[in-house]
Amino acid sequence: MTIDSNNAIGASSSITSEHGSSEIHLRRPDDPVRRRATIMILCGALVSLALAVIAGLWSVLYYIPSVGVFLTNHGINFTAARPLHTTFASAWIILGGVAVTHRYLQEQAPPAGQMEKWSLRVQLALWVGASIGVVGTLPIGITSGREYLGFHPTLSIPILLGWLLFAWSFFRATWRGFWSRPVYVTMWGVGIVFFFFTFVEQHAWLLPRVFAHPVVDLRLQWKSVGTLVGSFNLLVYGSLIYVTEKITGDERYARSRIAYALFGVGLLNSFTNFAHHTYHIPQSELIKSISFVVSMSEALIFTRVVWDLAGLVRQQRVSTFDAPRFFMNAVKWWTASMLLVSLLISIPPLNSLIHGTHVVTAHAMGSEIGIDTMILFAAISWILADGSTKTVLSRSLLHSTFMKLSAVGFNVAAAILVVWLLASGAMVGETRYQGLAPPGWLHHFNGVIFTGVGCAAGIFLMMLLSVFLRLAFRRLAESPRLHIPHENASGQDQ
Amino acid sequence: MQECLHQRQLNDDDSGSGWWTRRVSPPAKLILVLCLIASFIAQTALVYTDPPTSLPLSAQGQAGRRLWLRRNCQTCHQFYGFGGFLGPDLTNASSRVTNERLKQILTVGAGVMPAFHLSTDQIASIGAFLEAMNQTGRGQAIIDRADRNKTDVRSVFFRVVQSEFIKEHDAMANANDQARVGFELLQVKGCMQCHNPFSISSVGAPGLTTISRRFGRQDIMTTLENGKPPQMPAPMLDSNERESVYLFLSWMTNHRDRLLRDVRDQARQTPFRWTNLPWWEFSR
Repeated sequence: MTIDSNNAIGASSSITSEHGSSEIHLRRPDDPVRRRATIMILCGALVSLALAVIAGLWSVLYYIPSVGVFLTNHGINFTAARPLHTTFASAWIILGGVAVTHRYLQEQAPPAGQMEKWSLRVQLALWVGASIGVVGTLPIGITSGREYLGFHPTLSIPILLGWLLFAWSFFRATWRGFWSRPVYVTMWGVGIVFFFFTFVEQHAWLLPRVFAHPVVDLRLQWKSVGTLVGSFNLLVYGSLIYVTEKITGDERYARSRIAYALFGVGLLNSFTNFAHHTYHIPQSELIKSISFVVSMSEALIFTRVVWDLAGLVRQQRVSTFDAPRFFMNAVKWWTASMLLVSLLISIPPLNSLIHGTHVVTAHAMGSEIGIDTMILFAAISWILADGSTKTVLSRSLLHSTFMKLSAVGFNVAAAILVVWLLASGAMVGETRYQGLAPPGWLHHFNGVIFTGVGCAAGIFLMMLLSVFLRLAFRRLAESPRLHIPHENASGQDQ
Repeated sequence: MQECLHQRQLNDDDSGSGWWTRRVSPPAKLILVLCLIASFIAQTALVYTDPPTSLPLSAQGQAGRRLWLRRNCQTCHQFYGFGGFLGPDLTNASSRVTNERLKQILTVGAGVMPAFHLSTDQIASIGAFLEAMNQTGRGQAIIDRADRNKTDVRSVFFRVVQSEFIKEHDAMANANDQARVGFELLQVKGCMQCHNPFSISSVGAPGLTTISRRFGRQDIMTTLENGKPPQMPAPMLDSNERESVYLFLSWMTNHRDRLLRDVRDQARQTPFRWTNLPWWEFSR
């Protein structure tokens, strides 16, 4: 397959397949307004990740007892660190997916009119305001006391309003011929609506009836957290297929039955699989049984799809380090291993052993780092290398030895961290089941390995971020502002 | 093993092979999404209509819950395994933590747990909330040590100690009745939440069968009276009880080798059974 493309703005590209047929991909001229919005959201996503890493490095210090006690005695509590870490880790994945969606709109949607420019400005302002609010309130102890949405419920309002504006932008641009578009558009659309519902559901605890029944609240909390993860996974998995299509120039996979099978089973899994966290909570066994059956089915399909996609990308072999391809290949291995872990912990007897241990942390962090983050890094690498007026600089930085070292180092450190968390969590679960306290050597090594390897992973990640942030903010400086022209007396824009 | 999409026979009019690689028609996509929406609605209805299995919180319990949220306790602690893992699961904490210990923890903290300096009313509210949670079910999979057929090390250890006491009694050896009282106290006070029988634990608590060898009588008695803040709480024992526990600790040190051998033998005879693990709730 040969590709003859010109990445300059507004050019068309033609693709000739091995079978001699050709398909013309016509791109609209990139709308500068949408381009700026894409890069602003991308910058926001990267800044969120940086905050998550900093808060994570802060949190992991508490696993060294002497350091933890020292910090606590000086009023620097874990109760401030962890919510910052979890909130901004989620924000990174969500905003990363939104940025890729905006990238699609950049080339497929008509130029933004005045109303849409206002909408974009307000959307971004609401999210920036909410982020500042979260950073300002969590460290001083103003929280909801909840998992994931640890910030005060008042801050949910600007987040939700911004999301509504984002949804309006997306559907306004894609509703024509929605069902004829590739699977990633369907995934994004469903994910956007899904997020809205599940985000609202996360606040059910504010209802007196739910608040008075903690176990009912736990069921709903797990349900809504599970489906929240499902909604942002749809944004991310859609991004995976979109970027693969862009890198390979082959749109057939995005319209194939297997891609829709992934979407269907993945979505089904999203809103049933939460129950593998609630096997042991007093709840209907039917709900738990559904989760168990669906969990087993999703693993196979998704592993197959990611393997296929990585195989497509790998066919275009390059002799030097290529950031998008590296991250795509990493996704394959992380997906296979983390889905295996998910499969195992969805088996109820094994689940009972490891529940409430660091195996759960390994599962969450391994999935969000190894799958979601790697996909978003592949997408961001492609976005930053494509369409910049200084493309050569972007590409040289993204394919540099520094980048390679950072990417490989991060993956290795993250893998060691996840393996350790799995091992230590399994040990704790087994000794706890025996009615014993965990062995002393575990306590000693946990502080060293968890903290040491966690810090190493954080440092490598900051190295990666230094490249991404530099390029992203450079692109932001290059792009024109979201200018809303004033009309003169004759009705013309000035 | 990689399958190459480009080597499959793709045909836009669906007349070729490769069923999985064919295009999906727009009506089929719409039907798929509608089916998924229907499934979601059904699953949501199942969850929302599942009735509560416990009573609602009292006013005091709700006050405790609000305090729990305001102080962000879930950052470190869990209910039913949901929360942070720096501290223990508190679903059934009220069954193993006395009111005095709760007051101590919530007032002066413990290790990395900050000192919250809560008032008496606030502590009572937290206590009521924890008690209500304890009534909802078991939060962690722990083998019930009352079941004599269970194979966990702690149960085996207790059985072995019990049988040694019986043997000594039958042999008309020194009646270690006071040591036996110490053994009962050790079980009641929950010492093995932190201490293992034969080795140091992950919280740095020494093995119970080595304490008398490592520490002098005075040190042990002082610890049994005052605890070892911030990790070990004061066990709340009177002078006779402390003496009983001390005698039992000495007895264990003297019998350590035999106890260790017997525990290992019994553990080998009754191996860990996967079928004993619960499938759903831990109450079984």
